Amino acid sequence: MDCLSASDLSCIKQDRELFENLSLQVRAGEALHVVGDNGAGKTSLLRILAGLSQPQQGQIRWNRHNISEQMQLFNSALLYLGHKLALSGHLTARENLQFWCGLHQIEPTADFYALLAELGLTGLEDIPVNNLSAGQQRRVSLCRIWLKQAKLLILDEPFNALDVDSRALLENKLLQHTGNGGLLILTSHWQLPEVFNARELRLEYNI
Amino acid sequence: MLAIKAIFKKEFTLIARGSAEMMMPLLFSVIVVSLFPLGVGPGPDTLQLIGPGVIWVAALLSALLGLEHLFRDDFQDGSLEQYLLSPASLTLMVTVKVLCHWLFVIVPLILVSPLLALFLNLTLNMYWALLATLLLGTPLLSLVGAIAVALTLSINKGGVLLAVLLLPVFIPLLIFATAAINNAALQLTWYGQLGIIGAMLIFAVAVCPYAISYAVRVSHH
Repeated sequence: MDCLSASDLSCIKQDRELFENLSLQVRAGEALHVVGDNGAGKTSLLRILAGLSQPQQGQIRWNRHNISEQMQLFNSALLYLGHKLALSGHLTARENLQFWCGLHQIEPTADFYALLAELGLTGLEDIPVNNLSAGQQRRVSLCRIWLKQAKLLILDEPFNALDVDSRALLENKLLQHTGNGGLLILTSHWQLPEVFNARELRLEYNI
Repeated sequence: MLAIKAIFKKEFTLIARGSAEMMMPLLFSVIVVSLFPLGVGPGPDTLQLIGPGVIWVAALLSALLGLEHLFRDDFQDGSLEQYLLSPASLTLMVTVKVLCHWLFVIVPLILVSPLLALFLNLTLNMYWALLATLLLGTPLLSLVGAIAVALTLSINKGGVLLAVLLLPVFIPLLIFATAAINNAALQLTWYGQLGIIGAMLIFAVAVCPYAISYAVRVSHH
């Protein structure tokens, strides 16, 4: 049973306390939806949970061990997609995904063309990403969920700029992920469908 | 291994796709060096006297110009976050990145150095010294420069700060490199200066990769 737990987290940004003594636990098959106003610290919380930044206080454990003590293991279980898409504009969609697979030491099993077609990017595989629309770029970035069999998904506003069809496709994929015992933590200003059974964590904007 | 191959391939593709910024350092140093004979007059003796210094200063400044892009593009589009989240060793990955930068941006500069030497009327003996100091000295520029680039990532306009931080650090390198070439001009032995540059390089190779990866991590906090 995989489990991500955080205890007593505090985060201070520019002399403003975003949250303090925040504890949470996400178990296999669960989804956690972080909500809150702009600037409430959703992204900061997600970055801390992904191990990208350090909290002022508190600890994050993956399967009962501190994540900083098992970076390699944690990183191979984790897929984090931030609000920056991590796509290089001069490279094509296929090259970007190939690079990312190499970086994360994944031997790509799926055919990139088939995968990109599934996300509605047929014919755009070999065009520099700079020339794609915002929604298309987002879809290229999201292909990584299909490429890496991650146990823990941390997604920052994954539905941004997506059209209705891609939104449904992504929701299905995420549902399948939690159904297979994966963990999901995401922020979104959209309401998630009931079937997710997602717990909601509300961060308040305090001055 | 997969990660190293992927980084190499990406950097190569970016260069091959001809993003003009990557060619800037090469063009910059060729232009600067070719302007000197026009500016100070074509007297062969004067050119020979100032030649080593001019070429090295041009190499230094153009290396600084190229360093800007080492991590900044990846930082801005978020790719650097994905480096941090990769199961592969960050130290190894940033080292490969610096190596790619040296190979694709600086080595072309070394390749055109015979032309630069010709512009400034360097003798063959001086040219060999120039080549040796460039081969040992420029990896040092890339390695030490990468630390400063990684540290100034979160500052939006780090360019000027980068020059202020780095140029003083490179002064010893400049002194020993030009001293070696001047010795070669006088038909003296120049292995001593080369040895010192080599020692600096070995020290940098041992220490810099850890410093760079730490700086990259810190700039994401």
